[in-house]
Amino acid sequence: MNADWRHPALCNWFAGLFAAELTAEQLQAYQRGEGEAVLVSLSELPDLTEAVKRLRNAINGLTLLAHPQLELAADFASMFLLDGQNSPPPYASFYSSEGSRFFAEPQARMQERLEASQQEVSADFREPSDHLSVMLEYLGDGFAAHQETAERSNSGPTLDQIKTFVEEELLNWLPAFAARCQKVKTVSDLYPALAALLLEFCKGLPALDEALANESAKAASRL
Amino acid sequence: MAITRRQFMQGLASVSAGAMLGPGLLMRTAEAAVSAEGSWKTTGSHWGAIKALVKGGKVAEIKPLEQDKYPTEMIKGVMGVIYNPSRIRYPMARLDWLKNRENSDRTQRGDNRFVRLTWDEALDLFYEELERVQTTHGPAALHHSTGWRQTGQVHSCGNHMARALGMHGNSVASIGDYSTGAAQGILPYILGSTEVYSQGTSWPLILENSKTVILWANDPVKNLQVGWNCETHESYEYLEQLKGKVANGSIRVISVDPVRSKTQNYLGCEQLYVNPMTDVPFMLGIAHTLYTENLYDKKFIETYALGFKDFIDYVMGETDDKVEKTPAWASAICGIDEDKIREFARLLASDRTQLLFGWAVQRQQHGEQPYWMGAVIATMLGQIGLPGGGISYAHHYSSIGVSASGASAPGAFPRNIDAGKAPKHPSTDYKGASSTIPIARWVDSILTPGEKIEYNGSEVIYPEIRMVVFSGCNPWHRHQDRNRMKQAYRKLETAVTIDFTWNATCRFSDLVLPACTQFERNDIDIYGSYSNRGLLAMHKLVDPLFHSRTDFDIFTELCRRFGRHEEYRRSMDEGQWLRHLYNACRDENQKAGFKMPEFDEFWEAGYIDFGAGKPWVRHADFREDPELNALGTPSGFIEISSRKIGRYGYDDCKAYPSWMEKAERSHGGPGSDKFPLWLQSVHPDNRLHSQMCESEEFRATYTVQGREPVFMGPEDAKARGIADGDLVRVFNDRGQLLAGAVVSDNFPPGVIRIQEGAWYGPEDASIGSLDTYGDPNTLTMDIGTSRLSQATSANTCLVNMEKFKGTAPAVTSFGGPIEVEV
Repeated sequence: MNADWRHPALCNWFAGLFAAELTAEQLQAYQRGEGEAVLVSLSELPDLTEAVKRLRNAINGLTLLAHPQLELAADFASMFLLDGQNSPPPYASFYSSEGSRFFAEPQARMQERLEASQQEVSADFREPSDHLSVMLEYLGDGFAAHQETAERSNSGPTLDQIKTFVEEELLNWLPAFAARCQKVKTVSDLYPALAALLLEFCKGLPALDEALANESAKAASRL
Repeated sequence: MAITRRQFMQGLASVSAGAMLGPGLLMRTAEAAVSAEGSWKTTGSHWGAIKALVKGGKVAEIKPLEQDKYPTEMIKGVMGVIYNPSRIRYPMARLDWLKNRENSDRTQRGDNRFVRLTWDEALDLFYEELERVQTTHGPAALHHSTGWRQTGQVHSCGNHMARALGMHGNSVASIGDYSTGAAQGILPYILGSTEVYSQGTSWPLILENSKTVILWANDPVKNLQVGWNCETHESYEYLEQLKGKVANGSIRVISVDPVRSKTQNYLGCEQLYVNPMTDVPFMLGIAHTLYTENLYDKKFIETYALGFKDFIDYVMGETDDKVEKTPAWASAICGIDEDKIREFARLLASDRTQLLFGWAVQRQQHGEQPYWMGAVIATMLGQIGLPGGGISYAHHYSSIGVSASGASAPGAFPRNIDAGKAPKHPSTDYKGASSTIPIARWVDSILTPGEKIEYNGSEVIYPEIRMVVFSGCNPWHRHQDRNRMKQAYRKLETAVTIDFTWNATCRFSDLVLPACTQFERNDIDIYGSYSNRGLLAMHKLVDPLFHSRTDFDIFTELCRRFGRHEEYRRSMDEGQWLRHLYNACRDENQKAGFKMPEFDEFWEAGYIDFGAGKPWVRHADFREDPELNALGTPSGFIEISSRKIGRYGYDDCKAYPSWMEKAERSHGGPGSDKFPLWLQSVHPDNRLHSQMCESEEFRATYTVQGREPVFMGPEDAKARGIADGDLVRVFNDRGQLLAGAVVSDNFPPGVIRIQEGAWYGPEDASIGSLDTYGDPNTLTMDIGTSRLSQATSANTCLVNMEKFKGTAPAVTSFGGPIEVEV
């Protein structure tokens, strides 16, 4: 499997879903089936079929709720917004060896990466740089820059560098995060399913082959 | 079917459209990289002044300020507070309250789903609720309270809350506090002031003049670690000298306490064991000895006191009870041999004796009495107003006893509405109820609105409180009897809490607003609450984390909703307030000869030293001229008996100090057959009340199997098959908790200790649910000390305990709602 045009967009899609609650507009789009293209694309990646199916079922199940947006917002809060005792905070630091503390070493490393690329977390977001969504967007940008490099010889990261980031900065805590996500009591399975899907998605990334340019070219020809 | 790139991108755009956040969470930065070395900043806290290394926008290291020669270990917990995983990161609302507001399912409180709000949404809701309550029910329905807030004069959160809510409308006020309520009730009648928050005789004079120092239920080595303003820890220098004098025999120090205290162990001093809650019989036995052996100072009493005869008639059995309070009578109750009582009385009278009382004995039923008796004994000894003699009720608090420099402290952001202004809702119609209640009676007021109680010579009618607001305050720690609180919260329509970490008060609230910690704002504070040793710049270490805000910002924005935000902040921002308070302080101090530089120079330096003060003797002026320097009592003299209190006709606080049996008491007292152990809930050694309990790494230094320690003696442990390190269930008819056993020779049979401030974490929201961490107020009794003070009776508490068997539930104290019925 090669890295392709889908990877930057999928990373950003995940980033958006872990960054904030779904708005009414977004929810309606999912309920109209407009997320299907993304789900199908994900299911084409190796070993994601079951995880995608679970998420699709969760989305379909939302029709059973009287106030799906509010209930999902409460699920989102229970999962990601309340505390480090019962819920899985979406920060790498929380799962690091320094104990359950925010702004620990993983955040410092991520901050260094952002500073090195002259980036910072947007003022609106007001989250530490090791927030899952920030890391996923950074990863997505990495894929995009890599793709651009392959296409135009820019100086983006190599695929190995991207894989190292995934292995050293994401896969070192995402299994614990995803496991905790399964333990929170929620009305909908959407967020637990999403966390499980993200884990599988990231686990597949180190196996990507260095053939992006070719794959991208093929993908482009399909447009 | 394969998805084309176009289909994929269209789908992605569709499900991303209208997202709360814009297209990118990352943006390009133009700012220069932060210095890798970082910089040291100065700030202060209840735990002392600190220097913090801020590196890469984060606090990397904390150490005490050079001036602090006796820093507390607790500053090691500061980083665990700032970067705590249970920080409140966003404004949150309880879901069912959001849907149904005042008609929400209140049984879900403490066990409920929350949703995130934007600040605008949250403040709109806060404002709407205030409007609803004021317009529908009036001021009797709103109560707000604060507590030990974070330090800093600009941002003191209680002031911000009180001013903002006061500009909106009136509310039910409270009087007194949980620490010294009984003292504040009784001592103005006896000594003319509350005594507990006043400067005391300077330590050097005690060290120089006292031959005997009595620590009465007093553990200053433990309690002086923290202070109301930035703590200096200067008292420890004198305690060190006292230790030396104990060692060389020049001062005899006796700790009157059922427990071998931290101070006793530090000083290497003597202990006089007394049965819990029986200090008054012991003191009456002392008074009997002083009187019958003619050891009391008649001249002092004649010159400076009133009401001795009424009191001594009671001691001699010539009043209604016809019981002579002999040492033998006292001994049967207090457990001290009668000869020892006599010997102790003779020792007190033999030379200069300084009585130093702690606050624990007045945090019990009839807590007024031991304080009153302390004053009577001191009066009989005739040394009040002499250096190294008399009585103090405060040398364990905020470095009282360290001489005041004489410099002025900075003012604070105002607490009250400005003079001449009226609230938006000016109604003062409390619908026949009282506008002020004793602070420890607010739960009663919620549970039994309309009920009349007697209080300090007047009548209080409980208002029907429907909405509460708490800021810088954790009532789910400081109040007694959690299960009763749960019942009260089922009646409350709305609870709003402003805080920075998820605790039980937040979990039981409907609207939770994230304030930042004091380390995320610029401020100014006096160094030394009573010594006024210096002025401290409190540099902001980092920006407010997550979506937290300063209290200043939160309440400015609340006031904006009724168009009075400029009046609220007097059109000044944080920086302008800093300069304003500094310059006013500078003007004041220049008049008194204390030079202060321009603000910028001070801010850069971080600290101004005002120097040490001159030694001072409490009540020396009164001793010198009791007519000119009369006390604030009704007569102007020390009132050994109080006609005024007598006229109130209270059976639980009579005209003279007296012994009254407690509702429950160990060591043979009422209820001790069923629950034989006295539970004392003293101020903690490793926290400031409940502050810093959340700091995980620091908490791990004292917990047992992740639970709050329950200290016990070897006999009680052995009798129950409990070993050091075991999990223990402590229980009575009011509640139950899990704690971790610490078996120590410091504790006598029948006495156990769980330090107050342990965060409450029940298994679930049901009444009677097991507290998983060890909050002693799960077990304490929620009754007033007496009709006089109506203060807390936390230390009147009997329990039993057993080794916990089975699978221990996880600790739920340090986070959001614990169990969600979905």
